[in-house]
Amino acid sequence: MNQAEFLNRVVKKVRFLPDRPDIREELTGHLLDSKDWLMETEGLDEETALAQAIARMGDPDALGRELNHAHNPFLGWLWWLSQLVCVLTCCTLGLLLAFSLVAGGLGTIYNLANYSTPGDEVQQLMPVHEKLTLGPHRAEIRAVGWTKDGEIYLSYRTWTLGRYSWNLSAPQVQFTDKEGPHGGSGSAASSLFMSVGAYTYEATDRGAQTLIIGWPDWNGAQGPTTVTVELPAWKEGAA
Amino acid sequence: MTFDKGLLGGSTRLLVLSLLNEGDRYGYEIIRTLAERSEQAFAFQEGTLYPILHKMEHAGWVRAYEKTADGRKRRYYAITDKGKKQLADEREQWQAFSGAVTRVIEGGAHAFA
Repeated sequence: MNQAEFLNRVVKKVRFLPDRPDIREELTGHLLDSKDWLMETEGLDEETALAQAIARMGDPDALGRELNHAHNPFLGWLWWLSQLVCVLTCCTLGLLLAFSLVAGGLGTIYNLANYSTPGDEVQQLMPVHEKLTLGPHRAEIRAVGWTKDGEIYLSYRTWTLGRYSWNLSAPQVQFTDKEGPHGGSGSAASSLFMSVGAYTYEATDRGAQTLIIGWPDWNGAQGPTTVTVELPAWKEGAA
Repeated sequence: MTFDKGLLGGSTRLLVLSLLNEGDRYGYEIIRTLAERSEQAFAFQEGTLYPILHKMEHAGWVRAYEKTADGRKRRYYAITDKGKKQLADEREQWQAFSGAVTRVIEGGAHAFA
């Protein structure tokens, strides 16, 4: 009986399949160590030494049966199954997480792009591109305009340097009537540290306006906290 | 002298645990040590060591790990705390057993000791 035959006969009796390669490996290691020792101490040639090593192992069928007892199929399969369930669960969760991150990321990018592009309802769009520094926050008043309904349109961007837990709120606008800064309504898309927003503000009249845009209540800024823009009157049917 | 298989059967676990208590060993090493220390008295079918080792691993008395030495990867066994307790139990049992056997067969001589 040669080495392969011996190992096959042993391993055939082990019903728990996942353990078969390990058993093979361990017994092979034993046979090789045994062969080496026999060659060294008894001066046998390799072939004879291996044959003796195999003989010393004993009956392969009996050995296989005993090993099968030690590798309990039921518990073994249960353990293997639980490991499989674990791996599948982790993979599924991982995929779900990856998917939601990617989808979320794509969604944010879409929003950021969307809110920076004014829609059809905006007319007389006037680029401004003035920047403000408010502590660690930065703001850019990008453009102003009118909506077809006679509201004032404002497009802005804010971002924060360093790790802050909050971003700037939407800017406030004070009109020529100087009745105090007004808040507006609209939406902004925010990512981790940047917000891009498009807001509209109810104007008291549709004539030309001197707009003071920004964060007038901000304390401790080193420069201006507002931007002043001259907006021409609303025109019916303008682009 | 070759022993009746029955005699060795129960004690093999005690022998193996005792050797592992001295230090981590791999299968073939255990066979060699048993043979040398017992002066060839314990030179049984070498394969039968493995079901014993694997059952002890299953019972938590030994822990297995792989180590590479001289370019060969081998499976080493180390005794656990649970295994040390088992060893102590089996050693006690063996002493009780062999003591009892001795007392029975030498009963006559000891009667007046």
